[in-house]
Amino acid sequence: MEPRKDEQRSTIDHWLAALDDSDWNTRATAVHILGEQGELTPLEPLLAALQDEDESVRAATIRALGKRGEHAPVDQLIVSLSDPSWMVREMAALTLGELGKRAPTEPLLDLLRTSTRMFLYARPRR
Amino acid sequence: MEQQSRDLLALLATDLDGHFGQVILVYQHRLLVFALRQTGNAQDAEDIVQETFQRAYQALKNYPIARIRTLHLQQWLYKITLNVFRNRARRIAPPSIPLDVSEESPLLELEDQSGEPAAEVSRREWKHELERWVATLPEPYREAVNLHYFEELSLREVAELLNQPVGTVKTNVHHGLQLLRRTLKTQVNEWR
Repeated sequence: MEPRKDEQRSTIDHWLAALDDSDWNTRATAVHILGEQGELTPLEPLLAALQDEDESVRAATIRALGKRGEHAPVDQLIVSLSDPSWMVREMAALTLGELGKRAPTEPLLDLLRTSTRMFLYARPRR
Repeated sequence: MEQQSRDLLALLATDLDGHFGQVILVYQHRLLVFALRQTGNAQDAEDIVQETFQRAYQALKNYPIARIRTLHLQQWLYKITLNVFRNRARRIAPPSIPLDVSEESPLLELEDQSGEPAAEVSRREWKHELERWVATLPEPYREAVNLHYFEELSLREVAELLNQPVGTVKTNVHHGLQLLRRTLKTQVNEWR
């Protein structure tokens, strides 16, 4: 295995463990860094982090998942548009907007009813 | 303030870590006073503001650059502060200790060293007294009065921030002020 990849794996292991930290700030940082590692980060722990009790962690997770581009789990991101936290809903809208054609427009149109400003920014770029 | 906010957003969009300290410098006092009016407790207010900045930093780290540039920074920070306040209020049920507005209060000490004319000092003291009473208003009157009357946001801005119709905000401000007047009137009568 290449030394650089080895290093990346150990970074991923470190931050995967940090997803269980009691501090939300640490978990949010972990999710952010794991997102930066792209598809080397396993999908399952990130999907679990979408259910985190803390809104900032859930929002960071959406962003991390969005970085997977065409492999982003769009269905789960759409579910997050109905999250009770506006921070999470906004991040879901922004991320789906960036995913462009992969994201269906309908859920974003639903969001239009609750927040015009958020929708205008998040509309998918074609 | 608006230009300052735009400049700051442009800097944050290019180098978040290098410039986030400026966000704290520019907004911490304002947010602290805002949180004080919500909680009526200095320690709670400090904790809320600290958490607000942590959450703001985490959000900015994940926002696309274009989104950072279009933020209404001040309103956005108020919105996060309210979120933190509400979440804490849900978690911590016991009532807060009333805000310390005595002469020895370290919070007031900072304000009183300006050598301002007596009228200005008196106006400030009256404002602090009012703020103490705002913290006792029931929600949602407190939020509406705090944002509209003290933070001087327009009714429309408050409505957007709280995700409420303008009419609701207007009613809450009206009822909040009425309650405040009644409380203060009772207080003044007791002093006499």
